[in-house]
Amino acid sequence: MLAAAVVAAPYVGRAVPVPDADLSPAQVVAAVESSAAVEHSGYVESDGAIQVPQADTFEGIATLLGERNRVRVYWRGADDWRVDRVRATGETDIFHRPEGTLRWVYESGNATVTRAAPVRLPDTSDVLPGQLARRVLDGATASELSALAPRRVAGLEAVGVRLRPSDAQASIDRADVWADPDTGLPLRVDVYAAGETRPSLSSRYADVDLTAPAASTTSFDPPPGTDVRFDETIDVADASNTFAPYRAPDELAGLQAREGRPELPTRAVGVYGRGPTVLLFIPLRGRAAEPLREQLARTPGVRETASGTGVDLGPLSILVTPERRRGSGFLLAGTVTPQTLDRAAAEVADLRARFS
Amino acid sequence: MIRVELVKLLRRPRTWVTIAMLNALPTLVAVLLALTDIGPRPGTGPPFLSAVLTDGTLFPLAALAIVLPLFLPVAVAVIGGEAIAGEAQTGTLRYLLVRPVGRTRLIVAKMVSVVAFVLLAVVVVAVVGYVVGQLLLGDGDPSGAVASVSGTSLDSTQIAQRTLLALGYVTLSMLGVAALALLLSTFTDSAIGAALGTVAFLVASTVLLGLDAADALQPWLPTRYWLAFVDLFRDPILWRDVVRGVLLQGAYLLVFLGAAWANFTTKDVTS
Amino acid sequence: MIRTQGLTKRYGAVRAVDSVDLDVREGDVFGFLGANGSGKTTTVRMLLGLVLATGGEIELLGDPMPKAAMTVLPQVGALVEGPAAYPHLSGRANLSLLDAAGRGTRTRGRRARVASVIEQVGLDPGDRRGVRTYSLGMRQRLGLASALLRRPRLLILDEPTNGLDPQGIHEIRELLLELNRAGTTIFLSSHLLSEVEQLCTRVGVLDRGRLVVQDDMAALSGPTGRTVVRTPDAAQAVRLLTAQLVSADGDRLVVDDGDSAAVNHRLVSSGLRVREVGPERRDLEQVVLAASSQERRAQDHVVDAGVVRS
Repeated sequence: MLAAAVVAAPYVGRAVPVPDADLSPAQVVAAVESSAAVEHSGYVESDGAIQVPQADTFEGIATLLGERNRVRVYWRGADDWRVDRVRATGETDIFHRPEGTLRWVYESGNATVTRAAPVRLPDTSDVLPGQLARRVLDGATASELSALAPRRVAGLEAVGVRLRPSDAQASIDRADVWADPDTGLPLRVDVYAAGETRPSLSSRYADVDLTAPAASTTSFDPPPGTDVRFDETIDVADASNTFAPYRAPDELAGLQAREGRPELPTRAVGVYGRGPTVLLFIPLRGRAAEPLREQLARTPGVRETASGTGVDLGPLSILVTPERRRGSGFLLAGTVTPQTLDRAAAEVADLRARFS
Repeated sequence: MIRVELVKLLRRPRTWVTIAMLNALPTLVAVLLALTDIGPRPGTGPPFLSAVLTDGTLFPLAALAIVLPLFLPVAVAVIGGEAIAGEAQTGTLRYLLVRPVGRTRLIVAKMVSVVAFVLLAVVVVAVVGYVVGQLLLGDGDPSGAVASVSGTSLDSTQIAQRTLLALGYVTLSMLGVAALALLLSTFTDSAIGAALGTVAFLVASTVLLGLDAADALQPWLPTRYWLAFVDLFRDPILWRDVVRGVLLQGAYLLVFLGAAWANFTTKDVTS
Repeated sequence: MIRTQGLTKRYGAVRAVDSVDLDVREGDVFGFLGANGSGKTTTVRMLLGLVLATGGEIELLGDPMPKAAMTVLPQVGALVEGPAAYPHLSGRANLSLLDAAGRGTRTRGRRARVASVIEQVGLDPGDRRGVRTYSLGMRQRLGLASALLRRPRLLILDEPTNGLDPQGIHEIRELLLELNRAGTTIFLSSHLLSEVEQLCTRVGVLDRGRLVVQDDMAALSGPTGRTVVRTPDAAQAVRLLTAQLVSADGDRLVVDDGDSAAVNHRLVSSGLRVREVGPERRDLEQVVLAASSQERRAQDHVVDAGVVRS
């Protein structure tokens, strides 16, 4: 009897009916977009089905988009949070402050500090339902939105909204977002590629606590035996943006540059698109571009065309343009159709290096 | 009867041979680590192994993590499988029962002695791990503080408390195995059969854990939360999986022990 | 001491023990005979509550089994299907553990209890080797010792002299007789007719699950009311005794007359020589064989009837 009760317990909670909330899709989107400051802590599970090739350039992205991640979140505001990617053998934590980011890897005992970067590759914080939903719903128009039935997520009654991007360049078919109606905090996000019945990326809170976490939880005090290092750049995108002798175009393949933070201007690296449609333009040095080309060439389903070496991984397409000076090239990647990448490759083919 | 079973357990050479073998692997690992100073890469290898290079304080936990996936459950399955089937095999079961020892009393005493073995094995592995860690591995910080998995400092009191919690958790995880072995032990007169059946069940559970298609089953698999004791060394402690692990093992314990009792008290003893 | 009514054990369609009504009285040395596979061991196990009966009732020392096992079994000593012990422990350690097992066992006097039964069965009290080094005979003695630990009122022994040498068999037999004289009832299951014949006061015979004979030894092997004569003058004797003659086999004649003195007188007064004369007695083997074959015929008859009906 007791055993049956234990086994049944998780299901009983889910069976409680969810009452309808009177929020229009646009209201839900507005609430979500203003939820970055909602204080909370919780436990997130994300599942990715995008098999990104293991390449040094992409660092943790293969894990982030292709596997199940278990993440603990302590959120005191948009610029004061801590995100732990929890593993059976340890964890990788990101402590974020306005002035910069600290990354802690338990197994190696390393703490690395980097300054705040205008652009970077996705990390654990970007697959949290909150960050993901705010990006996906950014700039959504009323015609793209429809209401979803409410559902219970992490014990809360969540209101749902579906976004179908109208951009021709989009490779994402739809994104479903459920959020807490009181605070607007997104609790679950499922992103579907065109023609797929299972989400390419799903992220949801399994536990959430809407009270403010203690300030001590988001501050890092190095434990004994730890070297705290300072890194110039956070990843390959940040490095390219800082050092590459290019200026990214304002518009690419018909997509407008995404607005970053005005105080942190982007230069060499370009981020384009709206909502779930993202196109990245990153100039790579030969040392980074060559191995990436080889890695992509070994990936099943590789396309070798005049525009470069490309692979299509469900909603995500990646392309490296043909060799320029000393093996260098442009990396074009994003949730856009392969045709969009080809078009973008053609547009940047004549881009000249500037030495300023 | 419980005292009798404990005496039997402690006087059996096999008990001590098993425990000695359990400690051989972690000790070998400690020696290799001390000689080569090479820890596993992040995300691979048993937890805590890289941390013990600089601080041997955590080696009891590393030792447990090393034996937990295979050695410890196999040892528990062997001892648990022997509980009833072993007595049946030597023929002593019938003499105990006509002594008379009530069947319920006998199975309770057997369970207690298996629990005692689990506790003994876990504690000996931890103590040997502590001694080996102190002798062979890093001394750590003079203040006794140790880095938590989340990168905060834990003082020696906190480490001691959490280590005790972890020992308790590992013991409980092994009790599920013990209960299953005991159940199978009431079904067969072959101790090795009961042990192998238990191991087969655990291997099946491990295989299913790695299979995405078995997603719906995973929360109920007995090995699902075994390594959750690592969560006790995060800061703050991540209770989620630990709590689930405790409930799950509790449920297995009740179901298996109940079935073992029901089967044993109504079966014909023909050994 | 032991009384069963309609005791039955079925395994699927097979009746291993079929409606057995045992009656063992206080002070008996009861011989429980039967071929291997006749259901002896199953019956013994049911008496002791190891195997649960499919049907029927069991009373041990006046109390129902297995319900009253906890109060009855302490007064019963048993040896079932050979002795058993923990091989890595010495005989003494095994007995101590067994003595400590079970409810309400006292630590006080344990050493003395163990020492006395070791002596009783003739084991070496100084032996500290593990039981794994014991010979079959020593193990048998150890098994008996454990059965005797609680000074039982009733001993249920399954093949107790198995594996013993003739000297050992004699010793054990003496020990059992001595215990019996001191008031212990003994239920002895065996397939050795001679052993039962020498030891027992009552006999039960099990054949294919059915109890075909249960009677006093004296009644079974008593005079049959006939006289056996051995004479070198067989031909004349046959003629003289024709009216009462049952059988003649060479010089051995069986005469249907219980008064052997009268038969002797008739032969001698007719001038015939008599080598031996005396009342006819059956031995146990004949009793068992006769009862079994009779039972078999009866059963075959039933089977035939069944075939005809269908």
